[in-house]
Formats: sequence, C-alpha cells, structure tokens
Amino acid sequence: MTFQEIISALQEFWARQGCVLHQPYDLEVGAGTFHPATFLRVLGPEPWKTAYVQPTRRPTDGRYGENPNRLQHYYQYQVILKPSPENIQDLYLDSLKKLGFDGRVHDIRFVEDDWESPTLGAWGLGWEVRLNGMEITQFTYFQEVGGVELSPVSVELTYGLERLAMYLQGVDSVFDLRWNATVTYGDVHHQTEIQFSKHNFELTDPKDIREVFGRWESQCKTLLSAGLPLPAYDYCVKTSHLFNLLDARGAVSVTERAGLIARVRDLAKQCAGAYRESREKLGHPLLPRSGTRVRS
Amino acid sequence: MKRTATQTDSRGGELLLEIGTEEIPSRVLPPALIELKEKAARMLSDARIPAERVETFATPRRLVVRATGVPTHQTTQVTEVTGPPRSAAYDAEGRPTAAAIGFAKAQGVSVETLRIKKTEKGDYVSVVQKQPSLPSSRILKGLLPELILSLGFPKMMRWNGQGVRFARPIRRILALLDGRVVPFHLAGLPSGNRSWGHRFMANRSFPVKSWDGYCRDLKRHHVILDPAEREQMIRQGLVKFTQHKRGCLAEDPDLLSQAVFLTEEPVVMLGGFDKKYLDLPPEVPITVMKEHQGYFPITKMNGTLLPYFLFVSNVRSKDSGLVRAGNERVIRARLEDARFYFEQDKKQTLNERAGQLGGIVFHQKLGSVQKKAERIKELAGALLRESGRGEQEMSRVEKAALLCKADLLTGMVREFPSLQGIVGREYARIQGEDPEVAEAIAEHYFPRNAEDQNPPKTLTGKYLTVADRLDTLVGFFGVDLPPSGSMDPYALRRQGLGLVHVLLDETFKGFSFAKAVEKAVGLYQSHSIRLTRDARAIVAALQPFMVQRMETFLNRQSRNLTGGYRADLADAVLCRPFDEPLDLYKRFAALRAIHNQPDFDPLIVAFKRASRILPAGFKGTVHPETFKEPVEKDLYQSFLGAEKQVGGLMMKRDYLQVLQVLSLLRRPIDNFFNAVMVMDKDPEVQKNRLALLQGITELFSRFGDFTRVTVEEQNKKEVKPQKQD
Repeated sequence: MTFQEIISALQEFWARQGCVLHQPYDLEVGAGTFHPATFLRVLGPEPWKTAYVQPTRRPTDGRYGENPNRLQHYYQYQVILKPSPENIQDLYLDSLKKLGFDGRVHDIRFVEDDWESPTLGAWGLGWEVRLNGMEITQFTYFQEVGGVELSPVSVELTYGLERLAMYLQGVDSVFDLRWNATVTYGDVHHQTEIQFSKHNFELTDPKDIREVFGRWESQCKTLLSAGLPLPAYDYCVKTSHLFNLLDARGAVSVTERAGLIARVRDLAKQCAGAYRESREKLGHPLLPRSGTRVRS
Repeated sequence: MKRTATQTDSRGGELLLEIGTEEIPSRVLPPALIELKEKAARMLSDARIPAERVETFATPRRLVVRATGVPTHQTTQVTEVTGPPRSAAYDAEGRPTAAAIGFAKAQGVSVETLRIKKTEKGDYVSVVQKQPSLPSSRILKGLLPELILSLGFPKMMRWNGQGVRFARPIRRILALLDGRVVPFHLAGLPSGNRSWGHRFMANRSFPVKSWDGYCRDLKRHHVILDPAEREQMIRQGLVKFTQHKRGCLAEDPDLLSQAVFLTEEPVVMLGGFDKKYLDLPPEVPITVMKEHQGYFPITKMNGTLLPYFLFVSNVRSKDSGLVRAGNERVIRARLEDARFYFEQDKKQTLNERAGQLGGIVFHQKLGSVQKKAERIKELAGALLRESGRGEQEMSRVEKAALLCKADLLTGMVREFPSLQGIVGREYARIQGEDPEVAEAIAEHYFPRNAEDQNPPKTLTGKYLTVADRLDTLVGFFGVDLPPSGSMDPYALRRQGLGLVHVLLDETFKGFSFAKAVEKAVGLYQSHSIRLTRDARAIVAALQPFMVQRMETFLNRQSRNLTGGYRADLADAVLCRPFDEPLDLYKRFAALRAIHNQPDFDPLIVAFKRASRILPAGFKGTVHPETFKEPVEKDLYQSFLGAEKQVGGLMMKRDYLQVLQVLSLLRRPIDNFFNAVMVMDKDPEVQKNRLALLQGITELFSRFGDFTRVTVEEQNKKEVKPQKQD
C-alpha cells in the first residue's frame, strides 16, 4: 500500500461510519486535536463524527532530514466520534483490517497511555495501540477539553500514518516510503525537513516571536470580546505554534515555559467557553430533534 | 446503643461476578485485585450473607470475584436498641411519658412493644427488632453494582452518559449465584450469564453455569483467568529461551507483572537485534528493552548483554515470524536512533559541552548548572583537602566535577533522560579521561533512589555526590524552598536520603555536616548568588531534616532484621545535633546489636532509676571518703573503672564495647538502690550519693540519651510506619 492509498483506505472506512471527511486545518498545529473540528466540536451536547488528515508540526523533533524516524512535519490521521460508541474498539480494529492488520496474526495491544495537553487544558484516558510492539495509534476518551468536563464523552483516534506506512511497506527510513507508485516521501518532504530544521533551530528570531506572541494573544482576546470564537481560536492556535518555535530555539527557561503555556491555555479556555455559548445561542443545531420534524 | 446477635444459617452458594472491561492498565490491576477481594468480603458480611471464601482474578479485560459458601438467605439478626431509663419513660401510674412515646416513634414501633431491660446502671426501656432474612439473590441485586462502583483507581474516567466512573469502560457484566443470573443494571448494561473469549483468538461469547465450566470454557476461548497461572506460563517460556541461548535472566518483578497483566493468553517469544548495537553503552539497549518496550533482556553468565530479547505476545499467531519481525523492527529503529545520537554527540567533547552549561538553569534563584558545577568542584575539593588527600585525588575530583553535568546537553540524554550520568561516563571514557573520573560522572547520581542499594564506589564519586547534594540542599533551603508536607518539587528528601547513605561510608569518618554546610553557603556567596538565609539558619533548618532522612534510612535498613526498626533506639542517638552521620550510625548499630540481649532492658531500667532521682540541674562532686555503705563504695569503684574504660573506647569508637562496659554497672546500680536510701537524712550523704549518680548518668549520656529507650513489652516490637521519601 502506498502512503496515499493508506489515507484513502482510512477515508473510505470512516466515511462509511458516517464521519464528516474534514480537510486539514490551514494553520500550523502541533496535533490533529488543535483542528477546530476536534477542539471545538467536542464541546457541548451536539453529536459529531469526523475524520481527516492533519499535517502536524513539531519543531523540536526536526533532525535536518538525517534521522530516518524523526520529522518536524508529519501527518496524523484523526478521527472523532461523539458520543463515543459502545463498539469503538471493534470499529477501530476493523479499520486496521482494512489496512491488512488482522489481530489473529499480529499482536495488537491496548497499552495504558494517559493523554494530557497543558496548552489546551485537556486530558483523557486511553491507550497507545501497539502493533507487534510498535505504537501506531493514540486512542483517547476525552474527559476534559478547554478546562471543561465533556458530556457526552468523545473518543479520539490518532493514527501515525508514517509509522503504519513504514510497517506496511517494510522500509526502515521514512524517506523511502512510496507516496504513490513513482514518488517517495523523501521526494515530497526531505527538503522540507532540511530547510525547516534550519529555520526552527537556527533562524527564527526569539525576540520577534515573543512580540508576535503578545500581539496574537491580544488579538484573540479582542475577537473574543467581539463574540467571534472561531477567528479568536485561530489566534490561540497561532500562539501555540509560536511557543513551539521558541521552545525549539531553546529560548524558554523552565519558569517562562510554564508561564507561556498558561497563557495559551487561558486563551484556549476562553475560546472553548465562547464557542459553547455561541452554539447554545444557536439552539445546538446538530442535536436530534424530538417529535416531528418536517424535512423540506 | 445497639446490640446485635446473629445466627448463621447457610448452605453455601457460589457467587461469580465478572466485570468485562476494555483494557485496564496493567499496573493498576494488582492493587485492584486486593481491593476487590477485601471489599467483596466485607460487603457480603455487612449484608449478612458472609462468604466462606472470596477470591479475585483479573486479565486486562476482566475483573472477577468468586465467592463460595454464600448463604442462601441472610443470617437472621436480632437487634436490641436501648432507650431512656424506665424512670423517665413511665410516670407514677405506669403510663408512658413523652420520652417513651418519642423513642418508640423514632424506632418505628408502637409504645406497647417497648420492653424493660435490666442493666447494671438500672432499668431502661428497649426495643427488640428482628431483621428480616431475605434471599441472598435479592440482596446481591443491589450489592453487586454497589461493589463495582466502590472500586477506586488512581485515574478514573467516564465513557457514556450514565455518570459511572471506572478505570476504563465497562462493556459486559456476568453475575451468577449458583448458576442463576443476579439481575441488575450498571452503566447502562444489564447483567447476564455470558462471558467472552480472547479479543482476537476467540472473539465470541459463551454461556456460564458454574465456576468449573467458566474456567474450562475461558481456556477454550484462549483466556487464562488466573494471573498466577499466566505468570507460571511466562516464567517457563522465559527460562526455555534463556537456556536455549545459554544466557542469564535477571529477576524483574515489575516487568513480569506487566507482562502478566497485559495478556490473556501469554506466548513468550524470542527476538534479536544486530550485534553492532552492543557497541552502545549496555544501559541504552537495556533501557529501550525494559522501559520502552517491556522486553526482557538476557545476558551471558558474566553479565555481558546478549543481542537477544524475550517478549510476551498476547496472541498465538498463525505467523509468529511476523510478530517477531515486527518487534525486532521497533527495537532496531530505537537502537538506530540511539546510535545516531551516540555518533552525533561524539562530535563535541564533554569539556566543550561543559562550557555551554551556562545556558541551563539550575533554578531561577540559584543560577545556572555551569555555576553549580563550579561550586561542586570547589566544595568537593575543600572536603577532600580537609580529609588530607593528595594532589592526584584533588585533580580527579575537580575534573569530574567540571564534567559531571555536561551530558545534560547531549542528544542521548535528551532521548534517554534516565541515563544521565551513564551517558557522561561513556563519553568521558571515549575521550580518554581517567577511568575513575569517568566512573565518578555516573556515580555522582548514586544512589538514584531509596530502593537503590548502590552508592558510589570510587573516592571521586563519593566526594562528588556529597558535594552535589549538599550544594542542592543548601541552595534550596537557603532561598527558603524546603519541602513541606507532601510537596517536594525538587526531590530534596530523596537527595537528603542519598546523602545520608553516602556519608555512612568509612571515607567520611570525622565528616562535619555543619561545617560542610557552612562551606557550601560560602560558595554561593563567593559566586554572587544571594541566599536569603544565613549559614546558621540553614544549618539549623537542615539538621532536623537530615535527622528525618537518617531515620528513614535506618528504618528501611532495619526492615529485614529480626525485631524490625526500633525508633526509640534511633532516637537515643539522633537526639544530639546532627553532625557526623557515620558516628551516629555506629552508635545506633551498637544499640541494635545488643538490644535483644537479656540484660539490655534491666540496664535501661537501672539507668532510668538513677536518672529519675536526680533533681533537675543538680551538680555535685563526689567525696569518696563520705561513702559508708559497701554497696555505694562498690558502685563508686565500678563507676571509676567504667569511666576509665569508656573514655578510651569512645576515642576508638568501639561502641559495642562501650555498651558492654556500661552493662557491667547494672548490678552495682541495682544493689545500690536496693540497699541504700539516696535521699538520706544527712544532706552530705544525700548530696554525695546524688553526685555519684550524676557521674554515672553523664557517663551514659556520652553515648546517647538512654531516657529515650523504651523497655515496655508492647513497645519492643513497635515498627514505625515508613516515611515518605
């Protein structure tokens, strides 16, 4: 299976489960969880199912394209099911079967892994799913997001696409992955890794980033006061990435670190609160209506 | 006031409860098994259906209770509740008063049913109530859900709208009493009579009637319910493959328990990796195998690592080669990563990295790690110089101090934080440092925790760790950030415990804690870091802190000795200002060695007699010519003899002998007290006798404070609860 065939197979599988096939969010994010289709949609009572690929940036993980397993830019396949269905583990295992992994042949294990995102004010319990010892998916029952206890509980599945592909194709370097029949992952992204590693580690300007951080932070607050949680949340996401860039420069001391994270979290919490209010004002349009509802 | 009489009526029934869950974390299952067993037994007996025997079992996907000898009905219970005195309950005409009526009402009975109960304190009214004896199945309907919900896990979660919290979602419930379903609902699920097989090997349900059938059918469905049986299977597999490779396997209970509680049907397998990874420091592959992957490493008989690992699969795969190859891939990728960092790191020497430590903050108020390394160097040097060591030792310790933190900046430590120190040692060896310097870099983190029984072995390592820990303690206490209560964010208690451990080495004979602290304080000052407390305050704050660490250490060390830990013995030697741990330890060890001897307690009794009779602040001089009675002359002679010996023995620190000599005073003291009145009519005689006793107690107090030693029988076996460290 090529890299893009794996994505197609997952898209097809989760579309059949009734998921909205979202597209990647067009901002730099550190995880698929930051996508508003996850972070905001898991809030409040409305049901929601979505699946999408999310390009993910982890500046500190850059290795100038020299390490076969480490990337500062990679792809997550993200699934959100709200409320979490009773048969979610079986559904997930069915999706693995679509990729050719049968639990009677491979050793598939659910190993404790508690998830926490201090920047998003979020935590959940679940597992890392291991396939013959290799972590391939984060499986999390969200308990709290944006500092709010969730009801209903959403389940989040995050597939590590490169790892799955490396396993399926039997290659030892991510850059050797076949993206399609003729082009490799390296053809698409090796330069990305070299150039962005240099950028992330050497060429950003911490002073400048700190200033921008402050600007986006106040912009977020301005937008919140204007009652616009969606654009406000964009600025929250941007500050989170700026923090990651500062971190990659080694420009964050231990105490400053806690302070910056708290500032992002504060924005995230406010966005979460404002988003919930806005959905409430709209009367939670995605809630199933009881009684008669005439379809036009 | 309630009195209860119970009667047992039982023909034993068998209760089976299986809580079917998604995978519960392996580390929480062993404590959950104990909790489940205790709670089940207690709740059954509180509900008056006590089981003869309760057992619990678990796999990742099920928690199981089996109770046998459960009565078919509740035991009958007659309860008598006593009310007001008869005199207050009835008036002169024998009519019930408001008190009687109120009591009857509160008990839900009519006032006519009140009885008179005779007690030692007089007559009272009372009510006798017989509790109904309901069938156990009816009781269990309410009790089993309550039992499930009563379980506490370190982290709990919700998964649906039922508001139930558990370690992971509950998906199925099997509840049977003698083969019949105990019906109830929990978390939106009805209980039933079906169990379920292995997630992959037999993913289907089957009906259950009895315990034997349950166990047999579980096995058919590839589930080994009993953790002990899975452990046995795993052990056999491990032994088989280890022998096959002519290797050695270290006992590792945590790793084994993890494997037991991550599998329903364990299959031990052998994997390998390329020999080239054996060029890495062995701790690296070991960390990858054990900590990251839960694999069992094997070694040659001589302890060198073999390029194999054992792992436990949860599936009897049709293609086990795939499973093995997959696991080998994972470890190869991680080892390749490690090799990558190993090669990268070698491009810079440790000395170069040490120069960059200025960029790492030790603590905001205490400067950089580079400054810390400099202070360690100076402090270790000063302590060494004082002990009269030579130039060679000095230069080693100074070199090691400068390099000891440099590995914090390597890719390897960033990747494997638990290997700090070990990585530094390897790089120091590679760049050709003196072997002892290299070893000391690793050792300065030893002992790593309270369980670690390996303090540094090299002289350099010993001085380095003492200097590092002293510097840390002095720094944090100096800016008023000591641990308090459960808060110890800088792990200072662990640092202190390790410091005690190292200072008990003979190397630190004559070590003065107070002086060392003063030196450490001085170094902060000379490096222009402002501490908010002065040296005297820091010493005063650290001394009781260190006494507690020492108590913790002695407690842990005594745990496996007969008689356990005697807090009072520790107290007797630790009550003086904490200064030289080794000396305190030797005194404690001497006490511990003789406290079981038959004449120890009588000695303490004799000493306390002498000490108690002395008026507070009494000072006197013995005039030998005033002694008249033979017993007092005898005691005086014995005292003089003992005093003469004790002086020399204390100098030699032969504390066991000191105690033996002091023991010889016991009989003369007893004889003295039995034959004479200390408080004689003649004030001169009295003063002289008191002066003698004063001399004796002072002699004892040169060793320790014996008034703190307890001799009561019940205190002898007292084991102080373990302190948190």
